[in-house]
Amino acid sequence: MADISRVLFTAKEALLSNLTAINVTGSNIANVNTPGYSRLRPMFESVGTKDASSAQEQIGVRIADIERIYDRFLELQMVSQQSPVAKYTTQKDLLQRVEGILNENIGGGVNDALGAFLNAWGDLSVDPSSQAKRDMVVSSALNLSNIFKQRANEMISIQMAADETVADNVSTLNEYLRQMADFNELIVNAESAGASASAIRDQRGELLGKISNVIDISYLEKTDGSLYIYLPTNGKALVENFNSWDLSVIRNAENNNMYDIIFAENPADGAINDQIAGGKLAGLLDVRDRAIPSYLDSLNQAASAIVNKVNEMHMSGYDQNGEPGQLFFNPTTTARSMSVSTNILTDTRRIVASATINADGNIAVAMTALKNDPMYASLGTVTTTGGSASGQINNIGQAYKDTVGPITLTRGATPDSWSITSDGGYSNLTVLSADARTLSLDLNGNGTADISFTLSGTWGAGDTVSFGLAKSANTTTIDGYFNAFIANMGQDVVNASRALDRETTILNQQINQREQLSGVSLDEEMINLIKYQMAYSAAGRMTKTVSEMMDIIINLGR
Amino acid sequence: MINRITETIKYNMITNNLFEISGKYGELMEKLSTQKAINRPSDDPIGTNDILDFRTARTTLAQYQTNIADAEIWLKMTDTNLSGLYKVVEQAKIVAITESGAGGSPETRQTMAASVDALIEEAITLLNAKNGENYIFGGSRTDVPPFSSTYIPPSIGAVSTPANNVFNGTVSSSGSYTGLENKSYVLRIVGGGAPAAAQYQISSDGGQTWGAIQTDLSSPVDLGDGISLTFTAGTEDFAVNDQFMVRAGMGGYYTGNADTLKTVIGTGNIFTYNISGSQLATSANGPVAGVAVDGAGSGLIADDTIRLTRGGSASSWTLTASENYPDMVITSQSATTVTIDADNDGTDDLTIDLTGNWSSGNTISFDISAGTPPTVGNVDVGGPGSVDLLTTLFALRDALAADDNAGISASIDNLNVAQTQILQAQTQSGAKLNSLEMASKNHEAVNLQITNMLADIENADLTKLITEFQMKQIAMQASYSMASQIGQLTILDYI
Repeated sequence: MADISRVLFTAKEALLSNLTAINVTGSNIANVNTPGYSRLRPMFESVGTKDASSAQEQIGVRIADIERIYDRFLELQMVSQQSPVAKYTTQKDLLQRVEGILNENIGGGVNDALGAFLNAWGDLSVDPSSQAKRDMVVSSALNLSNIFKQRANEMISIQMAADETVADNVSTLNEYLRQMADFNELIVNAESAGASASAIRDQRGELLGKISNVIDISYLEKTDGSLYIYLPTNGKALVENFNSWDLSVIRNAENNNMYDIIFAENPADGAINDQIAGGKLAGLLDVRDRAIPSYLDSLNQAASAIVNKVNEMHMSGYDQNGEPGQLFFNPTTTARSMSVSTNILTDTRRIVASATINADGNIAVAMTALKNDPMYASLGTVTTTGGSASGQINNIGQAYKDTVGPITLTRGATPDSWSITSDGGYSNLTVLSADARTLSLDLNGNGTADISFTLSGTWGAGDTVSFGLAKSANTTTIDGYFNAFIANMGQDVVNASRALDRETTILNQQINQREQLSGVSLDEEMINLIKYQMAYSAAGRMTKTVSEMMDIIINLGR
Repeated sequence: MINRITETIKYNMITNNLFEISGKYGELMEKLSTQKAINRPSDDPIGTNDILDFRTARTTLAQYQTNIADAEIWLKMTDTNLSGLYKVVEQAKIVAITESGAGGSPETRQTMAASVDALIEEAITLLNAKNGENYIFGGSRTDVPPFSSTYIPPSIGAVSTPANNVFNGTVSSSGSYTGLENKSYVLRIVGGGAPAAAQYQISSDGGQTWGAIQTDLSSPVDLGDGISLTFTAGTEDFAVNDQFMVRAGMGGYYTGNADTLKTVIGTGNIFTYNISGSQLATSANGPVAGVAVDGAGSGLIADDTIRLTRGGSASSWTLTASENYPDMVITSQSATTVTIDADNDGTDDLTIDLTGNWSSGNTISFDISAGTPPTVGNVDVGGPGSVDLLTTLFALRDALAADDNAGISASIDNLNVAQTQILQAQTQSGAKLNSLEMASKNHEAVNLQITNMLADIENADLTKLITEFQMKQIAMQASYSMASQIGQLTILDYI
């Protein structure tokens, strides 16, 4: 039995439902440019029965739900993909700054300065007593050491900046984690009360992306809607329920006082630096702890090879006063402390050009060939009496010279009492340290271990270790070493840049996939708008019709 | 396949493409403006390595060329001075020839003696010529002019000690020098301690090569060639690297040394560019009468004259056949000793000790008187050699002044030898100049090659770049116009 008021009621439902739909369309249109927004879709549902005998025979409409179009799997992929992109972006940016410092292609770099230094010696070789040519040697040496110093210092300043950025990112991350715990609370409370939290969910998705941008994370959504976020490498929680665990930084004395990342509440668990594989933090740590230290090491090796070789030759000849040569460079193992000896700076007559007390210029001649000297040496056969010994060469390139004979060491009564029986031409050879199992030697007297032996077996007084040194089969020269280092550095930039391109392409694809599903299409929304507007108009017309019908019924009674 | 294009996808695609195209556009712009294909190591790491290697090679070549140019200046100066010297000797020879025999009178000889004095002065000026801070005929010694105008007797200089020696006692040199060239001796401590315990090494070539390690400086130390050093202990003992230096002169007018001066004119090519005064104007290269024959053995049974002639090397002496000793053979020969078995019975009869410098064609002759024991007469040395130029000129001057006809005649021979010496030096410097020129040309060719290879790697291929640039420009324009078209095309215009 039809009921006119029932019809009116149905029309009202249609009006309200379509109004809601238009409202939802409005939200979608309004958020067309909102990052992370997932489009909403009104779910129309018919209500009532078509049982003609019932008073409820009319079938009406209502909005059962406003659905958030959203794919959890895509979302996860996108969040995870933020990490590598952020990592390689950071890495590439920093490496490009290093590359700017070490850009040997534009000239005026170490390569040119070394060439100028050696050429100054070449000029001196043909006129060893010339004051002007001696001055040129000094000024080119100063230029060389300044360039080494400057390059090293600039790299260290990038390293320090990266270090500060690590601390900044950790505090930003802590802020994000706290926000994430707050969102968890909001979502759980809203949804347990039956309310929709789709806007907060979208914001939470965005925040998740930001977190992933800083550090690589894994997460899972609990049944109550809260996110559980943890570090993928060790499973330690960052956010659980309504709580977050702050990270903190602490200076590590063993790593040049740079920051280690730790859990603020469990500093005893130690640094988690090497458990961070993605995000800005990974990029920063990689450049700070791997790339720059390795570049500095190469720079240091090249610098100290030059310092040691020049000093060795300088000390083998005689200066203009006919006195034995002293140090030319102050002994150092780092590029940043490379400096010309004060003796040379104050009196250029102290520069050694000759192999004899006369002015033959032979040392200057030998200096010009410096860049062709080998960077590395290798250890010959080690023969022993007593136990056995295996040796290792540490960074010997700078200490190496053509030895006259083998080096022989003899053990005294106690394990720490090794003495030098034959120095093989290394007049500055010293035993740095020795105990029952190790024996380390300093070839050039600079205080660092050049050769270390591991001893095994039984050793007694009078037992000997004997070995020779040879130019390494690895024929890398000082010059070749430096040039290869520059090329390697360039390759690092290329690798970071390629990795970034690759990861960005993947991220863009994922963004597009997500957009395909969750993004707002204005075309679609406009069509929907027309659709809902038509339905709304029709429902309005129906109301009007029912109203006219009611008028008729009321007028019937007159 | 994208089936639902949203606004964000549209704009993302446009911006991504624009970024990509403009990034490449920027790269091309950089390459075009710098005209270099590689502007930073990451543009091409391997190419960068090559570029740096090539640049090093080029810098090195440039230095070789500078060295060659310096050596050329030196050698040209040498050549000019040698020509001048040749003329001086020529004039002296004309004087000697004119004044020798009946041609000269005591009066003209006196006058000519004065003109020879002038020639000597000119010769000394030419011999003491300087290039930069170096005397071109002084060997490696630069502190004093190499040729003196007065005779300097054999001398042993005072001991000089570096300021940073630890040992603070006194040290003095003594003895009479018997060496045959000017030398610099250095004694260095290799094991410190009190005089009796100190270990030391001696170098007779200014510190380049060192002898065996010896111990004990408490009694006078023999450096060799008659030099001895006497140390008196001070408050500080000897320390490693303490050094003591003594210069010794062999006597004559030359104070330089026989050192060679070298420079690098190619990879591993160390080139000697000087001609030392010792070789040019002293008798260092000639046979110096450092011959002693002893040990006359029982095989010497007849009077005879024995002659030996030296070949190209120290062990190539030959005997001139002798009537009375048909079986005579040389049993051993070295730079210092030649032994002879006169009757080939297996027992050496003569030992000839050689010192000084010998060259191909030098001869030794001496007489043997049989007897018990047999005796050996005066030993004559002959053949080509060198003379001391200034000694010869001074001898001529003195002979003229003293009206000594025999002396004047004798100096003609010596002046001829001196001229030959100068000519030889000129030939040498000419040959050196030639090798420099060849090395230089070679470097130029290599440099050109390297420059080309460098350009291939480093320089941008402009034709290719401009074409690419235009293509990218079109792509940019297309992207821009697409971006604006997409903005204009909207459903709103149709509803």
